[in-house]
Amino acid sequence: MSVPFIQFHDVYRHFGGKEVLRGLSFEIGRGEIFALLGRNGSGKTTALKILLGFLEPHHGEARILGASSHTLSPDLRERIGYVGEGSRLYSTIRVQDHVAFEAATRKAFRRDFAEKAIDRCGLPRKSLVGVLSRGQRAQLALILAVSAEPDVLVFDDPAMGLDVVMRRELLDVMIDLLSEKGCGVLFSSHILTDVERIADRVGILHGGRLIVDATLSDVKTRLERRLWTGSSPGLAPPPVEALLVSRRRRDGQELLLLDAKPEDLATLSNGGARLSAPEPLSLEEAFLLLVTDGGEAGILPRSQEVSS
Amino acid sequence: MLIRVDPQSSEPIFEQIVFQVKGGVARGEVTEGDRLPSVRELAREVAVNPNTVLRAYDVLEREGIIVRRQGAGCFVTGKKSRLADEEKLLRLDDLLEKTVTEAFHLGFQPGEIRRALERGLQGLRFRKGKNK
Amino acid sequence: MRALLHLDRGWIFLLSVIGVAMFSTVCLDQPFVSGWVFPSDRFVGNALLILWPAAMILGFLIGCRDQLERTTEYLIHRPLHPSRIFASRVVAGGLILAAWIVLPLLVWMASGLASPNSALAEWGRFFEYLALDTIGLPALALGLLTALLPGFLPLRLIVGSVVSLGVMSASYRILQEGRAGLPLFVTFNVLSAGALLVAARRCFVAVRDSDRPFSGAWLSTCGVLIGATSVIAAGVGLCLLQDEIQRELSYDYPQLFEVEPGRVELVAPDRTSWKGWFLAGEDHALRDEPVEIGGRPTWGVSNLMTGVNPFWLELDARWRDEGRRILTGPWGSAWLDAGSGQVDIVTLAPADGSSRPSRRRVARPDGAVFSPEASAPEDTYRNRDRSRLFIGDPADGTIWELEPGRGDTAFRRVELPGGDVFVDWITRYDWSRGALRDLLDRKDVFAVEGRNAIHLRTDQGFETLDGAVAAEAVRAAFLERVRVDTLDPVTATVHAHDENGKEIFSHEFLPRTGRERALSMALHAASFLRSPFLGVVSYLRPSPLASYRNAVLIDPLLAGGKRSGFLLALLGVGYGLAWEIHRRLRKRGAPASRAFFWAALVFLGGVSVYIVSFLVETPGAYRKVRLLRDEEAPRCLLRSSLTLPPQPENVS
Repeated sequence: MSVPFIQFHDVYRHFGGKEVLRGLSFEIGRGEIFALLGRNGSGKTTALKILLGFLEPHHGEARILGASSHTLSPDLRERIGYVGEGSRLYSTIRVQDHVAFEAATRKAFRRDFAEKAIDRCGLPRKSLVGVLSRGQRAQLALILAVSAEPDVLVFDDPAMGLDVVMRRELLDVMIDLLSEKGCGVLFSSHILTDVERIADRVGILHGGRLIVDATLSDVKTRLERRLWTGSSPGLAPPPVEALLVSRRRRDGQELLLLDAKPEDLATLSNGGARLSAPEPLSLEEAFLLLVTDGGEAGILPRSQEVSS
Repeated sequence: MLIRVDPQSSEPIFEQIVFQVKGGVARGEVTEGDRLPSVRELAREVAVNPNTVLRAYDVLEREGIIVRRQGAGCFVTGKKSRLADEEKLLRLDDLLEKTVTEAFHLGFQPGEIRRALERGLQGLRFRKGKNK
Repeated sequence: MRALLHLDRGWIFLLSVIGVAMFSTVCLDQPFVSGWVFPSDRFVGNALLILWPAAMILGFLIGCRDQLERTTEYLIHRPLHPSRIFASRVVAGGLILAAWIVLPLLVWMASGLASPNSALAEWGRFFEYLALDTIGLPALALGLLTALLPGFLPLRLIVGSVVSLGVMSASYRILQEGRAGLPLFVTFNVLSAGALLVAARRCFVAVRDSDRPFSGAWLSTCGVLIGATSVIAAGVGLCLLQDEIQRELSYDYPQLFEVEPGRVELVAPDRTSWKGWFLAGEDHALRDEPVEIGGRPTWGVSNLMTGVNPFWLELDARWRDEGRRILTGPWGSAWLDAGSGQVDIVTLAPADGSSRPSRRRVARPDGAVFSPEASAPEDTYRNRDRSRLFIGDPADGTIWELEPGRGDTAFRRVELPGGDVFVDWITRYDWSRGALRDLLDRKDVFAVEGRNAIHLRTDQGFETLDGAVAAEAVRAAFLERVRVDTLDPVTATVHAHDENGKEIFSHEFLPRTGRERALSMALHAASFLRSPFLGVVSYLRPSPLASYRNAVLIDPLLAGGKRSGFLLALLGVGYGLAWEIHRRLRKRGAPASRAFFWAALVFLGGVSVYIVSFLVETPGAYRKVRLLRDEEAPRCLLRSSLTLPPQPENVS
């Protein structure tokens, strides 16, 4: 195995008094597509900024392509493609001028590839970048980042603010480009349905560290969701090793189990309790179970709950 | 052959692709020598990570269902016997599981369900016999 | 780098065009002959008033470019060294500024080519105007630096404005050193622009993070520079402010007046209703006894600053030797060049070009040149006799005459009766009443003050005034019989004596009325904003200063060892601020060396450095990281080993 492409090692970072990253550690290997998930404010953008050298960690270090993140030389930046939050580009110049600028400032930029991709997406070459819609700008930023033949791509919430159609277009572009380039990708996103399609591995950032750092297939196969109903209302399920989270529902408890063994299932179903078969578990539902507090916490006060 | 995946299902996407290809071969929708879509084409069609499609194709190749020729594409081999049976068995299990679960929730006992199944099979044999 | 310039070419072009249009309008607004034929220094005012802020704004916009478009991260992520990006921005700014400076001048010159007077034009002045416009260089650099400074926007703008005031004043002051001033001025502008660019580059290259402290290395090299700059900038501002206050105070004090020979009293005008002048008491309050001044001179504390303008008022900087138009007539105009001491007669061509313009030099037959103090009676516009030009030179006491309309090419010497020596011209504005006034009202008369007597010039020549009037003139020299003991911005001990030297009056000027006390307190209060270190230096200075005219570094309140109590109070303020910043930094978690560094800097530099420290030391910079113990940390619930997906091939 080669040296990990991207590495976070015990990274701490705070803003003002608020601790955002508290010992973040994970690795990404060559050729992997890693999705960094988390709630708003969980520190995804901060982690990416640290990785690219825009911020310095207060403790620990981030490494990319073997070098420490705050000493990224121009040669290394050549090999990293980056699309930041909001896909900020120079808005007062035309699309083709922007392409020309990239071509002139990056040695390995493939101009013909970029122009073909732009045409394929239907982006007008002569219009000002500022006039493009958000989705078009995101596509352009993506094309520009990838056309430089980077070894690793870092995207911060590329689909932010885009509607369904635009997101699918963006996804199409990403798929096209990935088929062709095959580099390592780290991206953060809120849109878990898209992540499910495209990611190899996911990391869920919560409380300043990753509480999940696994392949998507592991997440799907090793996690189970079952419904548990106790023999009398108000009972809690017995604590078994496989039980990660339990959440109260009107008709029982929703359980999230990891690597459930037959003994665990038996423990859960004895004493008159009923345990359902595994229910379908999407990434979004797993995410929700893992990052929201267990229990009844909700927005509506209890008296206002609709009773059936 | 139309391949559909459900990213939100508990089944990993590459497994879904593998089973769908197998199903297509078993049903006869694709036959020996037919060309499957390229990695890129399929990834685009179902909007998934090309790596995932690649993984599915690897599995299919290992099981001998398809063969990949550099520069030309992925082609279906003729072998379907073993897999077709496997696939059918799984589908049978699926059907039965759904029926059994439903029946159970309706309150039927395992003995009653078994008897209903026998009745169903009798009827089928009779119909099948008639058509012969 | 060319790519970066190419990226911004639209902006470069647009800003250049706007600036060229604007400055061309400003240039063309001045008559061609004023700028290129006659000696004129009005262009200086325009350069300063318009080019300086325009260049600063340009620099600011260039520095803000990425902040405005929020493309900072995009730009940092280019595989280019940040210094190259910075260099391209500076080049862009330089190109625009060069367009702003050169093209309007060329337009101005071209506009004059059509004029019939272009033959008289001194085209070489192009380089002098170019040199004047180099003031745009530090302005551009300063605008750029202001945009790139760390800290939030209002604070940056304040710091930028104050520093610009300091740099501009210093540069301007250098310009006033006469002939030698211009090359020094250009050198200063280039050097200061360079220093500011180095600082701006440093700010651009270092990614400013308000949750991390400035590096120790950077702070130790720049810290002293920061301290010095803020002290000087504050000094300039205070100098302007305190000069104004001091002026007010000096005009508020009553004045000395010789009511009758041998009797000197304090007098003051009634400023509320302007009914006239009244006697004033020891307490500076007006008494109810009116006094007739009669146009005779009074002595005021403001006389300490007679003829001494603060540097910022001298907008007509003596960069170019002052040329004065001393007479205008149908034959043209006569110009006296104070630097060369020569007189030129310039005749402009009329607009229809029916005659040619000419410039000829007229010289003294003795071959000498006029001194800078040479003058003509009254001004060109008030001079009633426009056919005859008189020049009196107090340096050698001679008077010269010329009739330009007659085509004279050399001056003729005019003798005063009794071989008297020329001292000064007397105009009717010198005395508002008296026997001389009636005489001076006649159109064909002007008076000369000689060393021995006063002479009147009529058509027949010069004649001496009789004794009575001359005696009045002697008494009018009262101003010379007043002596000041102490030089101080606030206090003055004044004595007056009669012609024989006997002291007839003395008074100590102190703030006595309410208004005077208030002004004096304001003056002292402003001095608390000065640097304690410089306060000590001022205190140790052997000789005192009277005014705030150029008191940027030295405080006249302390100079010469005065007001020890005030000095102690100033040191107390410095110490208090130093203690506060030390406590604050230590509380935030800064290392002891850093806290001590700032405390020392604040103690030496005073309030201005204290304010600057807020820009540099942000609240969150020293917060310690709390490392989590394993039990506290969120547990990773699900982890896969690092497996690599199959490598993609181009299977298409």
